[in-house]
Amino acid sequence: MLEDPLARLLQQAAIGDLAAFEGVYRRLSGPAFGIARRVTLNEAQAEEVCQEVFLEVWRTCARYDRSRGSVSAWILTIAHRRAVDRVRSEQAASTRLAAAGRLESEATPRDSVPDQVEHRLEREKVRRCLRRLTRTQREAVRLTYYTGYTQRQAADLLEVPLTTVKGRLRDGLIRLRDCLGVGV
Amino acid sequence: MSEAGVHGLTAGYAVDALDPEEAEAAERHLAECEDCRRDLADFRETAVRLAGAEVREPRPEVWEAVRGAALRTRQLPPLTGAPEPGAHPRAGVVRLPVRSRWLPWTVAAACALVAVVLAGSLVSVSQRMDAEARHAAEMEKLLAAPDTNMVEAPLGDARATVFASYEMDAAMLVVEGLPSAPRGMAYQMWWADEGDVRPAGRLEPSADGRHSGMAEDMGRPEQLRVSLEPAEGASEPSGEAMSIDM
Ligand SMILES: [Zn+2]
Repeated sequence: MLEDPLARLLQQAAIGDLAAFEGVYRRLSGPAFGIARRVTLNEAQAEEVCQEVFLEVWRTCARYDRSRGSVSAWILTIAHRRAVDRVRSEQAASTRLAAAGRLESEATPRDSVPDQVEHRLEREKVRRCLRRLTRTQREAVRLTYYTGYTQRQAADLLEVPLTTVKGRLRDGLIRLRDCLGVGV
Repeated sequence: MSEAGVHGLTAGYAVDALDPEEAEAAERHLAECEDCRRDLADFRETAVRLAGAEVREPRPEVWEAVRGAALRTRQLPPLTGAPEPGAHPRAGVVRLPVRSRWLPWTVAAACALVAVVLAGSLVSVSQRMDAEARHAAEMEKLLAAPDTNMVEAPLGDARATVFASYEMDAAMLVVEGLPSAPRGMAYQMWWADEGDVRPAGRLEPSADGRHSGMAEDMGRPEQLRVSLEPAEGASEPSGEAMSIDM
C-alpha cells in the first residue's frame, strides 16, 4: 500500500502543529468545500460546513485510524455527511431542485492556473467514468452522493423499486471504483 | 433484516443515503463483517474521487475562521480502548461529577452570551481588541474544559449565568439587569464556603448594561457572592452581598 502523504501531516497536527494542520487544509479544503457546495447548493452553507469539518478534524485528528482508510476519505466523508445532514434538516427537496439550475449555470471554478489543469483533468476522468455507467446506475450515484438524497428518495424520484436503487448504486460505485483505478 | 439485506446497506452507507434506522443497522453490521468494511473503504475512496471532480477553493476567510477557531479549541486525546464506530467525540473523557442543579449548556449559547458581553465592554478599539482577545481566550479555555457546566440563577433582582469548571478552577459570571455601580464603586465577586469568604475578582460593566467577570481560585465553594465595594477593592465584603448557590 502506498504511504498516505497526508497521514504524517495529520499526525503532526494531532500534537498541536498548526502549520501541519494548514497543510491538510490546503490539500483538502477544495474538495471538501466543493462537495459541500454541490450538495447544499449554497455558498454560505458550504463555507460553514467547511469550517465545521476542519474544526472537527482539528479536534479529533488524534483519533484518525489509518486502518479504516486514507485521510482524504476520512475528511471528505465528514464533509459529505455534514452537508447532507444540513440539507435533510433544513430544506425541502423542491427548493433545492430549483436552485440546482442556477448553480450549474455559473462560471467554472476560480482556481489558480496550475490547479485548474489538474482539477480539469480529474473532473474529465470522473465524467468519463460516470458516462460508462448505465443510466440508472448514474442517476443512483448522482442523486445520492451529489444531491444528498436517501436511496428511498432516489427510488421515488426515479419511479423504480427501492431494491433497484440499492443494487444500481452498489453496481455503479463498483464500476466507478474500477474505472477510476481506486484501491489497486 | 435478512443477511443479504444487511450486506447490501454498505453502498448506501458510504454515500450517506440511508435512513437513520438503516444507518444504525449498517454500523452494527460493519462492526462484525470484514468484507463489508473492505467494501466501505473502497466506496469511500471512490467518493473521494467524486468529490475531486467538484473541487472549488473556498475564500481565504474560511481558513482564517478555521485557524482562529482551532487556536481556541482543545484537541481530544487519542482513544485508548477499542474505538466504537461513530463513537461520541467525548467518549473516553472522564467527566467530573456535576451537581444536580447545573444545567447542560451548549458552546453556541455560551459564546453568543459572551460575545454580547464583550461587544460593548470597552472604549478604545485597540484596548478593546486586546482585552477581548484575552478575555475570549480565557473564556474559550473555560468552555472547552470537559467538566464545565452552566447554572442560571437570580442575583438580587438581576439574572446571573455562571460557567464553572473544577478542572480549570475558575468560573465566569455574566449578570443581566444589575444597576450600574455608583462612581468610585465596583461590583466584587467572592467565594464562600463554611463561613470562609475569599475575594474572587471584579465584575466589569459593558455598554449594554450587563456585567461580567472571571472568578479564579474557585476550589469547591458553596456560594458565589457579589457585593458593591470601593473601586480599589476590598479584602472582605463590607456591604450586603447577593449570592448564588454553587
Ligand atoms: Zn457484510
